[in-house]
Amino acid sequence: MKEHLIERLREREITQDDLLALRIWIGTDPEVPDSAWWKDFGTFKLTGEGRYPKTFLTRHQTAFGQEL
Amino acid sequence: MVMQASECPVGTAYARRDVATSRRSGGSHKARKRPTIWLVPTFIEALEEIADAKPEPVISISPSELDRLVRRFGDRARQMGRWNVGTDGSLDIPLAVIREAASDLGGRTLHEALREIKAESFHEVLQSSAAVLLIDRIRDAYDRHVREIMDRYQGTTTPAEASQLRDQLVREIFGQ
Repeated sequence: MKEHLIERLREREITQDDLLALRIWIGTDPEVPDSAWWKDFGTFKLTGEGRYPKTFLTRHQTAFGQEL
Repeated sequence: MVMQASECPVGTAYARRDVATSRRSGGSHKARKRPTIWLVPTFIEALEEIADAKPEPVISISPSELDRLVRRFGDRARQMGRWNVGTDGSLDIPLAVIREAASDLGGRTLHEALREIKAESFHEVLQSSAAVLLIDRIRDAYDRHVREIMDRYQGTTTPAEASQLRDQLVREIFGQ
């Protein structure tokens, strides 16, 4: 899943700035709900459930659960 | 002052060259006072040294020390490098990143930042403190470091290098 996200950077589908924003967000040790959640990083979305990230979506895909 | 081969700061290759020169000059040179000599690597020697260089050292901040820094300086402390959230919770920072950030600050600010970081206090420090300034500079320098890897990843035409850089970026973004 993580490798696939980075490969999108090579294909210019996501931006360096958005990936760095993800790095900074991880560094805040964010509180996430136990249920489904998602966070918008601009050129991609990260979805998860509880402590664990589930998948990355493209900016056009619809995410479900609580937006962070 | 004569710099002895064993004191030479520029590497063993240059030291060997100096010893060989001394031997060729015969026995009488011992009594004579030699002029000051700084051994400067040739272009080729400098390139050889760079090519053979080991990877840049990385310092690791232990989870307990990192917790202390986060309590005092906020989340920015975790953003100074690669936070290994999936394993032991340590933080890895390339030494070059710290050097770059430290050289951006003046000597006085750097000493003030050191004093603040070493202080045994449990109180959160002011956002304008020298330590916060230093930590923010390290965080920015680390972002530049990651961006350089991203540039190389996007620019390489070699599949093997692309694969190696992709894996490196996974570690830099998500930690280990």
